[in-house]
Amino acid sequence: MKIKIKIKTLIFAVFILTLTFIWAIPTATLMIAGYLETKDSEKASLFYEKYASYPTTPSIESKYLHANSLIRSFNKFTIFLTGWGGGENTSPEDIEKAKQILMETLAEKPVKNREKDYYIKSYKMLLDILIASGDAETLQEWIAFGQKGTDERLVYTADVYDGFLHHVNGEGEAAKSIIEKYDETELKDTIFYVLKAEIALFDGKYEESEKIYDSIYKNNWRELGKSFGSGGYYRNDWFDRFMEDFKGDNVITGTVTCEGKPMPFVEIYVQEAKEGFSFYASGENYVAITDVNGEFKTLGLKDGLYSVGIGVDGSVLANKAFQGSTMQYVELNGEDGEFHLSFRNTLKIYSPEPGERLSGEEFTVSWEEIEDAAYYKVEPVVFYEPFGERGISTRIYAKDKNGEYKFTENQAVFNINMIRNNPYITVSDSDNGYLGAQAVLGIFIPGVEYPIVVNAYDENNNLITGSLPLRSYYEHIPSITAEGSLNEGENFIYRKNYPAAIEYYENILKENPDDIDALRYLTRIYGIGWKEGEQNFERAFTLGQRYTEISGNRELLTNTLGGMNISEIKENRENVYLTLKEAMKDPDFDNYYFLSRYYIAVENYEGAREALQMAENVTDNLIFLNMYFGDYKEAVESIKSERFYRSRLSSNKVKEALESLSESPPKGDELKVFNDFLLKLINSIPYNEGQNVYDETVKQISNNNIKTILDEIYLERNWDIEY
Amino acid sequence: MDKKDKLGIDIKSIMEEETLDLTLSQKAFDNIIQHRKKSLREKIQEFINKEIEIPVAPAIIGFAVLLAVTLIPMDIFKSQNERIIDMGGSYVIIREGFEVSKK
Repeated sequence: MKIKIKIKTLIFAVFILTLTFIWAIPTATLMIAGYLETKDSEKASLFYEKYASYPTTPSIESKYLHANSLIRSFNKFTIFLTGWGGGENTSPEDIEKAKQILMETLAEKPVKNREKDYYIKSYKMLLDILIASGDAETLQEWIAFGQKGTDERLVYTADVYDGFLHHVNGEGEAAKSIIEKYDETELKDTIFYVLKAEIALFDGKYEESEKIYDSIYKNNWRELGKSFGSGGYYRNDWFDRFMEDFKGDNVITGTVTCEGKPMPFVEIYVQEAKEGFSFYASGENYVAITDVNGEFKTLGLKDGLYSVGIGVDGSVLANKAFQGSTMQYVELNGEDGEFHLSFRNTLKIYSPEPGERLSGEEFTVSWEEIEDAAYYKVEPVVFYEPFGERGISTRIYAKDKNGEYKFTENQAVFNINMIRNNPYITVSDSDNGYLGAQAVLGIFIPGVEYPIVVNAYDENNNLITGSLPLRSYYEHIPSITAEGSLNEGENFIYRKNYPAAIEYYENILKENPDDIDALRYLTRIYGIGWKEGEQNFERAFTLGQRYTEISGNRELLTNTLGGMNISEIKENRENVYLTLKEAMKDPDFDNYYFLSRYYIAVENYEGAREALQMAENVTDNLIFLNMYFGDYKEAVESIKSERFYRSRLSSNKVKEALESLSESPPKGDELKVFNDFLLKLINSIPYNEGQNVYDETVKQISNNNIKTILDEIYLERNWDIEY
Repeated sequence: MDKKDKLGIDIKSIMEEETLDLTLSQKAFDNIIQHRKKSLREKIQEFINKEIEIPVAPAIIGFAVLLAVTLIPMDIFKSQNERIIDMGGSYVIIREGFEVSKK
């Protein structure tokens, strides 16, 4: 269909269209972007980008709005040794993009007042991003750029950030001189007052600082969330908490580094160790911040055991693995404490690549060499629910085709059938408690993607680095997906229809008692129990033993029965003994933990202690057994061991109490009460009975050293917390 | 100069006298009008009053496409849904639309 139209009408229409494209569409785009932003939609930045791309929109303003929309917030990713998480997770790509846009903006010359306003905003945002991303060098360059400017507001902003830099570096006088320079001017804004309050706070003038924060909160609380590249300046509630629970005379000093290089502007947090890991709804407020050398010194803290954490922008962690710290807690006891935390760059996996499919039985994992690594482990990631939404996961070490799991070379070859034949994870459905399919079928189920992680360790089994950064995209992680399909019986297991699976495989065994798959799967189903109370250890042992005879594979039975608790071992001691006798011909490190539990079950505590001494890591039970045998010095050595995962038991309090007990051992009834308590601990005290056991014990004890130990165990086990 | 003017006036008067009763046909009249020299104003008037035919469907589609290209960001239909999972202590972001290409 055609319409007739006069040219003059057409010209009018073109005029209207031009107006639409020059004014109406950019205005509509900006309105859509604003609306999406209020709805917290990530698509807002796409519309801001579009808005900035029109030749007719104001350049500086539109670029600022685009950059601003890319930065979600300056909330920090929080890392305590007891747990980590949080942050708004602006991606490294968006951080970089925002930086580039702002740098381009600052190359322009603003003329109109409105342009000048957005120019200053762009400048401030760039400095905030540089602080958040820990780029001290570039920050200094851009501060110098602002200080050379002709606009007084630009120079002021540069000076205040320079003051912040001096404050962070502990150059208090230089920071104060900047405050004095602008204190009587009209240029002052929120960041000025934040800086003033921070200087007062770290000068020990808590009241003055709190007053300034109160005033900012009343007048312009929104600005507190984006000052100096951090969302951590909402200190109003924090003051009360800090003054009541933390304020004291001793400080914690330390460093935060990556590959030995300093990490500036990392926020340092403290929590009382007994609190466990928790996030405050309002976010963490720092008690120190690292300077350009990565060093920090906290506010004065009172005596106590502290969990120390850090806050960094999530984008900084994109290529870093957390190496941990020298200690899990810092104890302040009349003197200052120290805490060091380090990151390493991640190691690169060359093979497999992300999304690699495996049609055969074997695959090779190869990786970058790490200079100081004593050995590497390859750890497939196992999602509890193999198909569908990826949710809870765990990492397990994989044995190569020679049965090794610690590799000194930079590659290892794995056979998926070998790995499937030795399932050693126990996962269960969170809804109904049913046993997870991979606990029976093993991992590398056909069609399921298994991300591969490689970790490097030093000779003391400390993690040096790994392939999985603290923040990453799933599509970048190397993975293996085996091809193939499940048969009828395996499908029953996969769907967790265990009664049907049991019937199916028992019928197979009636016809062929040596069917290797039936023996393997039923050993697992009976040995672990497909749901609580459904174990059949007798049957698991019979089938598992037959499986071992036919396949020569001893691991299946020990892996299956290794999860038994002390009372189950007691009830099945004969079978457990026979299983362990076989396993200890060629023991795996896991077997020693199983062996120690067997000895505890048969009340051979000396045997249990010897078994634990052979295990890979020092456990709490080894420390308690050393105490039980009156070997308090050995207990101290166990605590000091590099192989002991630091806990409250590592505190100086406990070590000093043990050393005192070593010099003056307890005797008589007190020793008996203490040893009874230790035996209960060794045999495992159910959580809900912990408080009573502790109360009963501690009222019979007058020895302060024993009391100290009891108190620390009480807190370490969280018996004081009611869930 | 004077002679020339006198001759001109004479000729004009003769012409007027001779053509006083002359009647032109409409065709001849139109022909004369059509072939006379037009002023710029007339030319513009004529041009803007000219009618042209525009195919409706292509015009609407063209306008809609132009509007869409100008208004809608290129990546708007790319799913930006992200889900964060904890994978062995690491924050792993699963991005819809960024599925791993299967090798």
